[in-house]
Amino acid sequence: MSATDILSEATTRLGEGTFTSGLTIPEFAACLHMGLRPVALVQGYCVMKWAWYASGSQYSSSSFWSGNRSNLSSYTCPHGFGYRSSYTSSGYGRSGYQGVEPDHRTWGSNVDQRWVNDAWMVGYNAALKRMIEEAQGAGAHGVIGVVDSSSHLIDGAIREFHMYGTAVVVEGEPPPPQIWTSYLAGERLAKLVEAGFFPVSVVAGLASIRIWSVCATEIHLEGGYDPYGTVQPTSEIQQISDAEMQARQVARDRIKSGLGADGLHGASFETDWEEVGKGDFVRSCTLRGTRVRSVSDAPALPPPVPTVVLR
Amino acid sequence: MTDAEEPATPADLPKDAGHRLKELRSGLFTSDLSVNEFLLVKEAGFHPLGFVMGSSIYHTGLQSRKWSQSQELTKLTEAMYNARELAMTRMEEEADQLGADGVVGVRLDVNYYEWGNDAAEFIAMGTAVRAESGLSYRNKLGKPFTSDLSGQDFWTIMQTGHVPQGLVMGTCVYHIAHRGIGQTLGSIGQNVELPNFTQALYEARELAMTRMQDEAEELDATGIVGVRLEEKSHMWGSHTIEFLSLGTAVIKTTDDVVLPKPTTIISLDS
Amino acid sequence: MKTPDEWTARRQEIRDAVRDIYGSPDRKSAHKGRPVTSDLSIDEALVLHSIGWEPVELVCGAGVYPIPTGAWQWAYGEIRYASVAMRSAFDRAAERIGTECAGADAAGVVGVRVDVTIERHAVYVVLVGTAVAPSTGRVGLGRPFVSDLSGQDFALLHNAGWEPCGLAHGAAFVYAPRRSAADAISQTRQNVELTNFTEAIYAARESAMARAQSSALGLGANGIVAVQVSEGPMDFAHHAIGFVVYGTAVKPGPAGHQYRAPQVSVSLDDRVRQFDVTSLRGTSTG
Repeated sequence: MSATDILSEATTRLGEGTFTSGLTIPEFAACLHMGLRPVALVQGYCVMKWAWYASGSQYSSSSFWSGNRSNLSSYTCPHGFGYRSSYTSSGYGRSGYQGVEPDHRTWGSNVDQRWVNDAWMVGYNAALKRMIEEAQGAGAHGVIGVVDSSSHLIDGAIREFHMYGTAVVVEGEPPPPQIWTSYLAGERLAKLVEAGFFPVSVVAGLASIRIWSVCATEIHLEGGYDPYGTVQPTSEIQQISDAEMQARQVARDRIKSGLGADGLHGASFETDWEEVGKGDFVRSCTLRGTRVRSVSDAPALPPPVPTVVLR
Repeated sequence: MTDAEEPATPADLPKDAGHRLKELRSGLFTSDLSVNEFLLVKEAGFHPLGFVMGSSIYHTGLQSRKWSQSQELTKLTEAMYNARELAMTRMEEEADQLGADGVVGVRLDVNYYEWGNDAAEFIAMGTAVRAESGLSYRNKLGKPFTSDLSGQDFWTIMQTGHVPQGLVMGTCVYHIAHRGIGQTLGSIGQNVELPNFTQALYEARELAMTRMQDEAEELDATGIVGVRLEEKSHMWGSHTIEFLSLGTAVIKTTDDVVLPKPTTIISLDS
Repeated sequence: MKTPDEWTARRQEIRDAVRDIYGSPDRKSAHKGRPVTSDLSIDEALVLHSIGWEPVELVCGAGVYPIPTGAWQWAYGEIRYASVAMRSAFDRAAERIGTECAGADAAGVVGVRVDVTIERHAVYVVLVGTAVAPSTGRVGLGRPFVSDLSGQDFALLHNAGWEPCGLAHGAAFVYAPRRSAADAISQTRQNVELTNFTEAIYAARESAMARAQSSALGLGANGIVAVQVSEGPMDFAHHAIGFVVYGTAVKPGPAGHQYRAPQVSVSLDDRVRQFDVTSLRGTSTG
């Protein structure tokens, strides 16, 4: 789709005088009290093809691949024997001993698949940009109560990004240079302002961690302790717990690096687990939140009064 | 609690309970009260001592019943009652071991396990509390009071000058007669009362509530609050129902009470 | 409830805020700020602010431990491997989230979401929460605490003079004993307690609770509040039953418990009531 991406149908809808809004009654009332006038329900949409494993896809070429991933941690086989490709009489002091089997996973790694994040961000940003354009078309200053979802459509290879929110105008003010967006609306937005913050934008980040199991991980996940006695039944499955942490840390750090001096408020994690093949997994984690800026030194509220409500 | 000697663990509690209760007596407290409930229990003048529980796995066997007659299945009633009593008694024993005045937030649950045919586990869990003033709040039978009141309800009822005495229950397992073909055909297409069913269900509920009141009378209670009537078929099929009536028996301790005047609020939170 | 004057102030604040953000470049850089990440709700953030604490960083900890094959076969007594795996997983997750918290220079983690998954061959414990610290800095506060208390509960306890020490936890997994054929036959027609079943399961529940208590004592606490007890058979082995207990361990601060009488109020909100139909079977719709 081109520069002015939004559909002509959207322009027609937004040109009509009445407004629609996804706000609930209390949120609507709170908005009006705050001096935010809802003008339209705006949305942005994008459908992406998700075929990075398929051959022919730009993401499957090795040069793209090697530049766009990073090794987070590596694990080596604790068994200590190397794999030998052929029979030899001098292997490790025992004649004829070949060491472990050819399919023994002597090495494993957790890899941050950056291209997955890049592709996801293309979809997310496209949906966000289109929603903002609709808001601009409606003459709005900001979009509140944003709801965003990303889900599989038809089959696993296609993903849709859908974002919608209520476009509002700040009464008595000229339009700002950029439209601000926020997941919060109503009373919660009022409290955010009371706390001395204002939303700048909705943000999201994704971390997709590919887990190539080392032998110890595989043995553990199959419920064994190995015949060589080096994989204990009570020791940690280090590779998996590292991956769980890495998924969340990388998603958080990715967002954090783009925040500048602003903060991330109301963050929420969404996780997903996929088994690609034997001993080959993907743990992905999406983090969403509102980027907020400190605009005033808000005085602290008085301590709350404990109340018992009689129902 | 300054006892000259520690009370012996009753024989029907597991060994681990003994160690655990000993730890609680020496000052550690545990509770499944939420933070709000914890603070209100303190406000009411009580301190939580520990999480107490009692459990019993009971086989509720068969009782023969006539297909066409509505009747109480007394053996099953007895079984359901005994099972819960066993669970509650063990919970009270644990509370007794801690020197508690009572147990609040009691939950009565029934768990069914696939491997036990007709067997169900009856569990009673709550938080044992003791008055900080040193006065005894135990009931007429000298046992710690039990109640299914939450921390908030416990504080509220204490403000009105009433003190809980015990969780009282009455149960009745009733078999509802199947209707004969003649009766069924006779009432097709009509909006009509089914007197047999009315009679049966009315009687069953009355029996359950009467038994609950009898328990309250044993405790010399002034009244019962928070009464709940539950109906369950457990594993017996749809024509056999257990009616369980539960409530907290309370006693009025003083007329000299000033109730705080409540403020009215409308919350803007959805 | 907001009075008209307060709303006017709020409107002015919003206009000023928008102007601040999109105003001149100098004004933008003049504002202090640091990239704080937090998953606390705005209510929690405000309540924390009222006691002088601020969110610092979104932190997580994970522990994954194996359960070998054969652990779930029908046998007798406690399923030791599973209990040990659960304890190790919890400890490791708490250790790692504590390390992240210390790395962010914060005093402790609140609002921790505890995610426990028990699969056939592994136990996963993942903790996610927000590290918080007093605005005056975390000087002299000792080891960071980890707690599943919400921001509001943390502030309530703080005002009442209590402080969290950490997450106390305990777990026990047990086999349901088998009945002998003779027992099974003789018990069919009787309404009777099944004593060896009771013992096995009761014992497991008690030992989970006992381990949570030891865990609390190990953290230097006086008590545990808001204990969550989760129990039930395993999806993949119905005769194996697990009990997992956790809660925030607390101890009173130097000033001891502070009493604060609550106000009583009557709410004029009606919950929307749906029509409740109870069938003969005791199930209800609505």
